[in-house]
Amino acid sequence: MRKSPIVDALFPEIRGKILAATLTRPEKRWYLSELSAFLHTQPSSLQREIQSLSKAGILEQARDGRRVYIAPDTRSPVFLDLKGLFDKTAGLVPVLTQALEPFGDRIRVAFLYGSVARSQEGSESDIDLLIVGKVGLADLVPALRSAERTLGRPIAPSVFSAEEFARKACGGDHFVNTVLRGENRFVKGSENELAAIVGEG
Amino acid sequence: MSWQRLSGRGDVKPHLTSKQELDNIRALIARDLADAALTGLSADRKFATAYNAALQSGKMAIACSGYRVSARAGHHAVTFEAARLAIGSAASSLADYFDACRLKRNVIDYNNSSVATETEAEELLGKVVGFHELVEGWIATNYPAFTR
Repeated sequence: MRKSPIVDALFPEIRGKILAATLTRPEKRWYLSELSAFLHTQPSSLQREIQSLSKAGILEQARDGRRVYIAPDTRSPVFLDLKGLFDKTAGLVPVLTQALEPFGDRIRVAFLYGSVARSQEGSESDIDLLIVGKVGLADLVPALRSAERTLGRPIAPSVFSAEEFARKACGGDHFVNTVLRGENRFVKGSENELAAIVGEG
Repeated sequence: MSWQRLSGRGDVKPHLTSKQELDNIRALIARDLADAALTGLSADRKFATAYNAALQSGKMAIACSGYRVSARAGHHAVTFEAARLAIGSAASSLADYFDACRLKRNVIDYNNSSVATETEAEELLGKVVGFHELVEGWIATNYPAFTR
């Protein structure tokens, strides 16, 4: 369940939670029971908001056998604007930024790569996260587990020291160079910081 | 979590261990820790080998507690859960960490190459050495007849 002070200020609690869950994963079709379990609430407490959001054309409901599933209506004229708002406030990057914040300068760069960075992931895709710094996987596990629960998806971290990342980048390592050539979404640091690390090799 | 619950789910079965059995596992752990430290081995293989030493160390604690993990899907996850139960809070954060390593090791063994970094493999080896010492210390205190 994602929390954001901006979302909390803009929307009533339940409506904000429904929009955050659905708009940050627009490819996912939620069943009511699944969505209520994810949001730690009862299905009955979601129904009124879902009806209201569906009536406004923000969500769409479709029948699949005896069950009804819910997803954002991507044809809505405000879909992209709303999605942008929730990506910035309650999406992968803000949730991961918050999770990694306690590690401070021990993390020089952290970024999403692969299908998630290209926004081409399936609804159950792992979140591929590459971290460069002086932090170990053992230190990161509690924070990443907590972020996984918030995001409802597994995180697959790869942790490099700056020295190893630079050496592999300069040494033609297949994985590191594929990641560097691909599209990345930064959780911490920037392209410039990443280039500086590679330059140390 | 309790032994009754793990047993009720069929995740563990009663098991009477011996010093001989534990010494065999100790030899396996020593082999894996030595192999995982070999220069020239890929980070993936170092990682997977060190991981196996963690798994076997957990198995020692479970055996001393009078159980073995049932050989079926998910038995690695159960091993770390049961090791945490056997040793207690001292093993809790390591059990969480090894469980995260389990997911990475699955990818290494069945799906992809270049999954583990050297940084991760080196860290895991250090943590497993520490975990094995923790298990041996716990055995010395609680099951002195099984001490190495």
